[in-house]
Amino acid sequence: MTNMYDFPSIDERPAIGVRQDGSPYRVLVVDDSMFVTKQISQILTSEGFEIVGTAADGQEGVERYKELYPKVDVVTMDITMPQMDGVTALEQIMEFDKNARVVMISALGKQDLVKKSLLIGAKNYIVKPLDRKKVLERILMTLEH
Amino acid sequence: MSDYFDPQNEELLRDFFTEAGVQVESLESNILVLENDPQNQDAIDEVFRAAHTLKSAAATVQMTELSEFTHLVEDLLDRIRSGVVGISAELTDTLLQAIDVIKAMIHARSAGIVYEHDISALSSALQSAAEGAFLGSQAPKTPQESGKTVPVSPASGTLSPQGAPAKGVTSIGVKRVSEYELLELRDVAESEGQLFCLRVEFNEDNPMNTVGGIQVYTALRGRADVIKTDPEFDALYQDVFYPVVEYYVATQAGPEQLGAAAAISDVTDSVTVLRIESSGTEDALRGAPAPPRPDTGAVDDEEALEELEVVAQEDEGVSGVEPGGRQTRKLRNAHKRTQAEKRKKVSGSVLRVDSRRIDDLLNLVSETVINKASFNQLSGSFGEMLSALQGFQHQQRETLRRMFEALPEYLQRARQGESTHDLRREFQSTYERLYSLFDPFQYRLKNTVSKYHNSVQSLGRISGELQAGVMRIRMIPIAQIFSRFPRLVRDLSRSLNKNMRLKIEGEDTELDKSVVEDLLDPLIHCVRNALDHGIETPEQRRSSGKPEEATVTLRASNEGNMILIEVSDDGPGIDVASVRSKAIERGLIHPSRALTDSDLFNLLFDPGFSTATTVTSVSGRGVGLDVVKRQIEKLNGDVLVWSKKGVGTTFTIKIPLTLAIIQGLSVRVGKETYVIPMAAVIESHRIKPAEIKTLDNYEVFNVREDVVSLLRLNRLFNVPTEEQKDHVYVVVVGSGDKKMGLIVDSLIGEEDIVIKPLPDHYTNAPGIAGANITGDGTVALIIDVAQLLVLGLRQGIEQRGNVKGRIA
Repeated sequence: MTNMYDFPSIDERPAIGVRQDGSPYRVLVVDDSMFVTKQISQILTSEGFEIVGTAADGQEGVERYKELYPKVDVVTMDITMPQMDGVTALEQIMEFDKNARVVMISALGKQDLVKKSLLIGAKNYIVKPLDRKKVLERILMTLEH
Repeated sequence: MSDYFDPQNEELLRDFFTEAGVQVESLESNILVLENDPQNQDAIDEVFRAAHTLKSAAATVQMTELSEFTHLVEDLLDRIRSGVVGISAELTDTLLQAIDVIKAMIHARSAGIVYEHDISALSSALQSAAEGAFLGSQAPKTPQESGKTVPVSPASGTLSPQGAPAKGVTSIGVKRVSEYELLELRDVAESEGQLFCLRVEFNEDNPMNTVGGIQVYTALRGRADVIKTDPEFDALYQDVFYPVVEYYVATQAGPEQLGAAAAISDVTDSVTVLRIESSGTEDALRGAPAPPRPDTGAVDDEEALEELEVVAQEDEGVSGVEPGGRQTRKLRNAHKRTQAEKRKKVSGSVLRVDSRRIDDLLNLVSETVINKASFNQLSGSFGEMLSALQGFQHQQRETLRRMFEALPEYLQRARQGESTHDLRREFQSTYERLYSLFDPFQYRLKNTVSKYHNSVQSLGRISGELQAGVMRIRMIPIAQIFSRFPRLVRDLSRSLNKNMRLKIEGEDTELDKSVVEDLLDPLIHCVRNALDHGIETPEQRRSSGKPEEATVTLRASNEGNMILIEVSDDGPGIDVASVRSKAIERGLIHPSRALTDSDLFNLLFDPGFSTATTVTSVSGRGVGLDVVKRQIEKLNGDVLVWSKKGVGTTFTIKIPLTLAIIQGLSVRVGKETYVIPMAAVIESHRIKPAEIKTLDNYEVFNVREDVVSLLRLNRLFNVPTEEQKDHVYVVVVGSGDKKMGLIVDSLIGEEDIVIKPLPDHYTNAPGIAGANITGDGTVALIIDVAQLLVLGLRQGIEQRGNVKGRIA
């Protein structure tokens, strides 16, 4: 630690979203709100993550996941979406790939759905409004597991 | 309750009822095994497991009365298992009574109501039994197991629902974990590694602080088997924040890994991992709290975990929560199951089928696919042949045309004096081809036709096998109903003070599900009858030199496409003379009438006949055997009695394997086709109208020495047809001694008939049992002979009335 203070460097902290071998973690963002999709994308790309796909509803999300598989490391999944909600989509993704890493994005007040998702196999959850630090932390936690 | 474990969930409920039925059956049969063989460890384990599973399942579907009551039973069984309480006849009675209550509760629930009878007497009997009240009757039988003996006191108070006092407080004391639960924890731990208790404090500032309990649960799930949580899992699922939650887990992983898994930044404030000793009865919890940890790191003080510390845990925040978390595992399983079955919509009754049978079917289906391909090929080659035929026809026409055009030329040449012989030779050589023009075509046609025949043949074979295969799916072993009899016989023999043994043979014999369901009542009647009338009291048996213990045998076997079920006893046999005098007394037969023994035995099936001098609670009211006969006949079956004095009596029930496919005789009436079930057809005749006589306004005709009354199907079903013909056909149908001739226009033939049930609004049509779709796609109605016999009688009476009216 002391070393770092002695020799400050702009490269002191490697980007979070990059593996040790330099390849980025690949993320699929499923959210019906353009705004949130963009927000998550910005937060993640700024840390070196690669957004490999986005989807505007659960159905599309499941399809995109199946297309991308196995070239996707983590999925962020909104809970309330038209067509197919996030919990159902999560179910289908888990059914397709039981090792899938899915992080639920939820508004406050959806505790029961978050619990349900965790039981189904979601690795973690993030509460809206999104906080940059939280998003990164939770997604990293998911990847470390 | 969240909608997640919705108690109204139809599918879950149906599964529950199916499973509960199995558990209750297993309970009952194993308790009976235990009564005779108290040392049978397998039976003890099984009975305990069944009660436990039932209790948990009941709790899952929120049938509290059932789970609480079953819990009492389970407690008692636990005492039996550990050898504290020995098994006696009284205890078995209590247990069986309890099982009856459980059955009634399940039954009530399946009807949508809650069992409300007073069970407090039985409950306290169970409790006192568990506390060793029966000890006097039989001492614990397994002293070598006394090391496992658990204190009796903790069992008290288990019935009281919410807010029950903490039970199972062991010597050193872990609150809210009964020694039973620890026992279970240890059971699991034996197979899955070490037992730990994780005490997790949650951060209340987390915006979704109520999710934490579940989040830690799922985080642990990957590394350990969460056996129990406190507050229980259901409570965690509620939208309530619990500052502290304890997770009881079994795992191969080390404490530090567990701690790391459970520690979630923002969500948890601290995680304490405690090791639970898996040996000895001290049940001490070892371990030490890990220091509260910051957002970042892993558990940093592993050595602390090894410090010995006896923890008496105090959680004021959750003290109102009933311990019940051992259902967690079950819940989780149920949860998995609902997930898997959510997409699978099941309707109607559930049938368990051996997977091999499905595989066989799949095999056959693949054969049909191959068969279909060969038909495709055939249709192709038929098409080719059609065009080939057209080609040949064209050639033929062309040649013929040329021949006719050439005729004048030949005639002219003949007139000019050319020799006929030469002309004929020339003519022949030019047009000879016409003879053999179609030969190659014929050859190809022959080939294709023989291929076609082959394919049709294999289609026939495959569809036959497919039919048999599908029918086999509906087949279930008769053991499903035979298994109810040990209990029945035991209860009856106790209430009748008779000593008897039930022997069951051929319980693997299979028959159609629909038949099995309708067979139970008649069989129960027969067995009761055998127990009550067929068997003497032990004293009588001793005096006649028989072993005191009587034997009743239930035997099932196959005979062609019929199933034979025999109920035999080794009692004194039927007293023929007494049957005879009784029958005369009741006016069933004339005193001077000569009857064979078997005729007399069959009188037993007459309504109102009972030779028992006293009416017992079991039988002797003279209703029973006639009901048996009627029910069996409804299944197209037959009942026979055979008896030999001093040796015993045998009731033989004969029923067809299945009701869905029958052998039928197709007949024609006017333009309609009807099917008469072959089992009911006795014979058929072709007679002249003159042979039809009128007797007492009935149309009748003579068959050898018998007079058979006739029924014209065209009149019965209002089918227009010509009645004045040179010949009519009469199909004589009947069951037992009732016979009747059905007049039809012609007989078509005998075939396998698949019965299609008719929609409700047609089933009222008298004399019709169902419908069948014939090979050409038309519908043929199937005649219900039994109904027709009754109907014919009425019809005759009406007709008689009409004739009288006309005369007057």
